[in-house]
Amino acid sequence: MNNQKTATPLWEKCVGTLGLLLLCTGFVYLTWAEMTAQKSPLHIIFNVEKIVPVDKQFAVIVEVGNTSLQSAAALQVEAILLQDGKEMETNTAQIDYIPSNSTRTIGFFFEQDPGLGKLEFRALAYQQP
Amino acid sequence: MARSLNHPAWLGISRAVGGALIFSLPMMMTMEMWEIGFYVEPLRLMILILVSLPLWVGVSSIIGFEETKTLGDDILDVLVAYAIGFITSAFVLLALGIITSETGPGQIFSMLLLQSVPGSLGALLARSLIGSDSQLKFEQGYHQELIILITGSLFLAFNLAPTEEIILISYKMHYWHMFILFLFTLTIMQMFTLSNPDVPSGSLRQWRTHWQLFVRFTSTGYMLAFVVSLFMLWALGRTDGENLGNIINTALVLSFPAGIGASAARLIV
Repeated sequence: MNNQKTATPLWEKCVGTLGLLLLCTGFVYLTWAEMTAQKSPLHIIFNVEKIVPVDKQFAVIVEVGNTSLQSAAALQVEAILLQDGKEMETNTAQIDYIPSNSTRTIGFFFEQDPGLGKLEFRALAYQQP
Repeated sequence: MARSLNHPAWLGISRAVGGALIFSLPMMMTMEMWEIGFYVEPLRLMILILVSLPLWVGVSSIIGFEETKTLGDDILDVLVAYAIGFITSAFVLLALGIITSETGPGQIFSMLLLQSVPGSLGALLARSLIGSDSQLKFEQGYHQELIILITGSLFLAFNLAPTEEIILISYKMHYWHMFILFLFTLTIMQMFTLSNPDVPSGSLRQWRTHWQLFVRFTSTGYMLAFVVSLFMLWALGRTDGENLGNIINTALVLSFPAGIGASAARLIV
């Protein structure tokens, strides 16, 4: 066996330093996350991206955002189509998982043109993961 | 810090990437692991990483991807392994479409930190997984053998602890199932212990040798596997909301693969 030794290559030191930085950053982030997690209630926002006619239906593509610091599982959301303040059509969907500060894109199918009325969205229920 | 000139260091890094992939791909392609990465309690993830660090240093001193000689070398290897585990996980999860523009940066970071734990272990084990110069130095001491046992149990426990099936199996099993599984695990572990090439075949004619090996490796290995199982279940949030009986049952189920991983560690690594 060759017992000849040499200094650690520079690039290996660089990768090791990167690992140290990642771990230190990770500890700082996790400490911050631990201190702030669960302290804010779940907050869900909705943003209609587009409405697309599909056959005889209309697909409403919605970006659902979780702006809180806690994640949610089995999030049930409801989309209501209103015309003159009257509820014309209602659709529900479930999002398996939505982490904190993340978004998910979902679609609702409506029989009537949502462009002729007003769309409202609300979160109905969720599970803590 | 001194290094052997036997192999170029880039080869060690290449092996580390390969090891990280082999070890953590099953976890990167497991849905539960992505979700746990999103909601894992930060404190538990931090403890998991903190516990892994000294253990990985011990692993590095025995079977690291470089022929390390000093504690500084081992620590550097662990840091390199974490960096490689992190970056490799990032590439794979991006390529698989798990990390998207819809994923929050905090969640990406948490998920990569979680994935980098098994990934970094894979990087450290790479030399024995891929390389041709695997030489475990079991003669170095019993504590290093214990590190091998823990590493082996982690190897399989990390793969299975995130899955729903482990909990479901524990619900389906009765107490007599548990007892049989316990005895079966010990039997399989003892078979692996006895089949170790370090054990002189002539000494196996004496029951005393069987008993000594059972106490020294099998029962100790099972105890370590059980503790590792409990810890992994707790770290990944699998004990939340469960009563003590269910937690013990689930840990007993997980101890089956973890125990086999512990006793077969020399074959795995």
